[in-house]
Amino acid sequence: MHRMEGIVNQKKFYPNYFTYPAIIAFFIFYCIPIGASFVMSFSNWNIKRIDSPKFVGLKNFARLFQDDYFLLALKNTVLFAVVTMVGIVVLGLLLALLLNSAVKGKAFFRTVFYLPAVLSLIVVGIMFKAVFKLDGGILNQILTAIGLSGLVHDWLGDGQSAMWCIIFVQIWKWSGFAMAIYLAGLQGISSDYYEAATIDGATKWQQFKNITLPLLAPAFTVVITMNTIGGFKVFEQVYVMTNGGPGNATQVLNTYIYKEFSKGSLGRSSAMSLLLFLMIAVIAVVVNKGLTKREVEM
Amino acid sequence: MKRNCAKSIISMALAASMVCGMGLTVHAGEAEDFSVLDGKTISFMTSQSKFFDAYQTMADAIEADYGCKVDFQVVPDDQYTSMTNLKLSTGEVPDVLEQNYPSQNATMNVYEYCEDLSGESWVSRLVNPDMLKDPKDGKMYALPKESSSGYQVVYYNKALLESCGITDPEPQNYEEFLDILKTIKEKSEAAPFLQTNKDNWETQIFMTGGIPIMLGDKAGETYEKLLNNEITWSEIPEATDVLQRYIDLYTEGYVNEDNLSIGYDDAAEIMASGKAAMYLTVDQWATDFSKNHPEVELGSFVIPFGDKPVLPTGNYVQGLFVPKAGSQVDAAKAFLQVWSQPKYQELYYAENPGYPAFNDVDGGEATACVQSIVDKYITTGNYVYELNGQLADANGCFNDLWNFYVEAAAGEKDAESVWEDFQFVYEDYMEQQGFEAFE
Amino acid sequence: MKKKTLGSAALTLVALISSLVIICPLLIVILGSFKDAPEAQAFNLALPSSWHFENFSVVIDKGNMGQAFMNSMIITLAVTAFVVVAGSLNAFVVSRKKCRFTSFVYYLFLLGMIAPIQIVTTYGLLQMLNLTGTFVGVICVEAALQMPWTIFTLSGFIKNVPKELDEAAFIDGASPLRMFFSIIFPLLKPIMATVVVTTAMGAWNEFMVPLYFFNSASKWTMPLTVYNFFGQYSSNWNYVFADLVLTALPITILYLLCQKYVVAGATAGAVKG
Repeated sequence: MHRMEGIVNQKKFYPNYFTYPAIIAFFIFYCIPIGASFVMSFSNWNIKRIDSPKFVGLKNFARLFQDDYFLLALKNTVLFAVVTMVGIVVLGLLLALLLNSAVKGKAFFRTVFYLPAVLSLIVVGIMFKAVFKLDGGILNQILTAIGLSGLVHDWLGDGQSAMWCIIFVQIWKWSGFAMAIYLAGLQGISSDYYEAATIDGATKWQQFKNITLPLLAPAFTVVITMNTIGGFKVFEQVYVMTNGGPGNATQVLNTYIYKEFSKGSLGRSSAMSLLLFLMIAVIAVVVNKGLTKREVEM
Repeated sequence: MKRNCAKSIISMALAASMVCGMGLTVHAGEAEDFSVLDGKTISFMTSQSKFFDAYQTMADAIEADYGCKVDFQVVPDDQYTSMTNLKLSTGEVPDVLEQNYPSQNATMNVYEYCEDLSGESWVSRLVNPDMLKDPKDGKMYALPKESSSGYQVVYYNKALLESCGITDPEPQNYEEFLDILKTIKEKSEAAPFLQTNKDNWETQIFMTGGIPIMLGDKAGETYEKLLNNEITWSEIPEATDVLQRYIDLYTEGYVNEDNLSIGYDDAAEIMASGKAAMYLTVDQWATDFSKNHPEVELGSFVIPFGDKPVLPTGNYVQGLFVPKAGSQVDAAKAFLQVWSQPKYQELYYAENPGYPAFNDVDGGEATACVQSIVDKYITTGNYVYELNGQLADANGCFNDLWNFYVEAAAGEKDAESVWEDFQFVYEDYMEQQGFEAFE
Repeated sequence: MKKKTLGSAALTLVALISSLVIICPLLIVILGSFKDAPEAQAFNLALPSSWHFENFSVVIDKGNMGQAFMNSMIITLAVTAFVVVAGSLNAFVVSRKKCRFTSFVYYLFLLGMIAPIQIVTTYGLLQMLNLTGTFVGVICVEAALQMPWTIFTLSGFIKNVPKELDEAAFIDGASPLRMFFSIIFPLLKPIMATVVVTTAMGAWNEFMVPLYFFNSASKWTMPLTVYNFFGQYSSNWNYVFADLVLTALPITILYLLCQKYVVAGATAGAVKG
């Protein structure tokens, strides 16, 4: 009886029309342009021939795999996505645990740690150019002051370190945001669990492993999925700090796509967008499915 | 029959009066009627580095005189080309837009999207109309801001070079130029040759000027062959040679260490502080520098690529285009005519002395180190046009080439592989643009 | 007891050092906005030798920031209101009802977080709808951009709100809309604060959409005004900094106002009851 009522509830209480406003807006202003663009990726669409694209089959895709710089951008993107995702997931959790502990001035630190997420990337880009400057940059000044002048370096001028600087900035910007999501999860965990565990003689580490981590599963799903996608999609961070440079050293897929777009090669840039989309889609769905399944099991 | 006759007489008379009327407006000059501007707002799209404070001063004066406002849209540089192209091809255009002219004509497809301004009355007042006409159809598509986009020479810190024992250098061949760099390196702490490679368009000044000089008489023929896909970039030994010389400046340690992370807008500060001795750039930079740092005196010389010094100069300027799809094309044209008047142009040149596009405009007193270049090279006709403007059809893919130059400067590529890699990009771009020779 | 205080002090020290990593770069910008041009160009943490408050009035005047502020407010308010209401309604059904349709919707929005905005085709669409250069066009595009993330975050948290609450409302005979707004919506307060702040900051900081889709500088938003102060030969860093501070200020204030809700402990009682 109770079960049946549940099913009736579903239909009546969770009507599909609740979902329509969001779907309609999203479909018209997001899906249609993207779909159109994906269709164009099989054409020689160019800004000079905006009304008369010609079908060229898979030519745009075939060429991408002969292009060393596309492959470099792909490699950089994967590096960026993996490192920043792990960095943010771990650092965000550490910050959340720190603020959930006996630390003084919680409100202040919470505000400060979240602040980078609020700032626009233009601000962040300009700030960190100042931090990483060779001549007079704060980082090099600090290194000199603590006697490590051997490490003084033109951080954004060297392709290798420039990539790591951008990775650092991404982690800097989004760890506080992840922290907030974890904190909301942590505060949802009833203190009864911990009290019971303490009575049972469980150590702090056991409590963390057996209570905190499992109950944080939904928060992990959100943080991991968002940052995986965000990492593969990265554009503005690179754009404001190095614009893919020096040379092509920090080129990622989205900056490379933008470069083709600037050249007017719209078909080519659509083809790259489509590849990037498919790649992230597979990864995101797999990751998300895996995580949601884990949530249920726990 | 009679009726017809009468009709034709009337229409002839009408035609005659129209011709007279047109004649009148052309000759009237100052007495032109600009009432079309009253109460209008002209949208004016430009980019962060093309925009000057003086534009606002000009716009304020024009508003006071003609009741016409200007709505400046200042777009970030690296979005600008894609934005102008997108706006033109979709017809969502501003009334006036500023872009390099005539080198961007092909990229922008002005033939289809922009008004032909050849019949405007300001055309007769131009200093150098021949350089400005479109190379393909001879029409005038934009109102120029200046008569040259820049004389590409080395501007140096006079006091700093004197402290190294070099007074008023005038190298006559490339060896002498290298000797100067060597002396500076030995005798001072400063970086002999400042480069700001964060903005890659700046890296290429050495090549865009050097290659045509080394090509000499062969230049025209070489460009023709490149555009017809008859030779590859790797097959131009002069190009490899000039690029190799550029790379050597780095391997010899003549360039500042942070060249890859600093940009064009850092250069003035570095030159003023004496951390670098010389900077290869254009005269507008030197003028601006002298205005902001009067305490530092600049000298100038041409890099002698061949057996004698020849000045590389741009054959394009900043120009104001009127898109055909604009909602008030007549007002935009009238606005340009007003903009070209000495009264307003001189407001610009009072703040940024230089070489105006119109023969009745006073460009102010040019900086000494710039004027000396004009006297020595321009008036004697001892100059060549830079590479970029000569290959206008390929302009859209040069950004990739400049990125390769930066990689070469960073030591990641040698000269040969730059040209090999660029050939791959170039062929593809020209094919995408629909040039038959590349299909 | 002593040990505990010591541990707490150590933890506070760690937090303090971490927060310095965030505060120092910010101080460069804030201090720079009060300096004169040559001092600001040094990009350091030194105090200004004299305080130039007039930087702000110059920037407000030259960058036409009053107008830009209004434009930003209109867009941000409209986008946030629409995204929060439509998004939470959507997320509620998606996370409550298990059927093909809802799981399709969930993955549609998940994929929507992935695809980057396609400028040219979006341009074409707005032309067809006669919306180019209008606030409505820009608001719709930005709302569509923000929607997937909001739905994704909200549906993650609605799962934690016990279904028993819905059923209680059902027994009281409430309509689905009333049940949602009177019972579920209030329970979402903590996560809602996060969503509001994040959506608003996304709309406020959005750069490409207004740049490409407005035709007149009179409709430009605050982040676009900074380009008035980057010169070709040298940037006016003091003005750039002042502009950036002014642009960041409203959204930072919103965050400070909401932040006590952003991670408040309200979930604890209701959810795990």
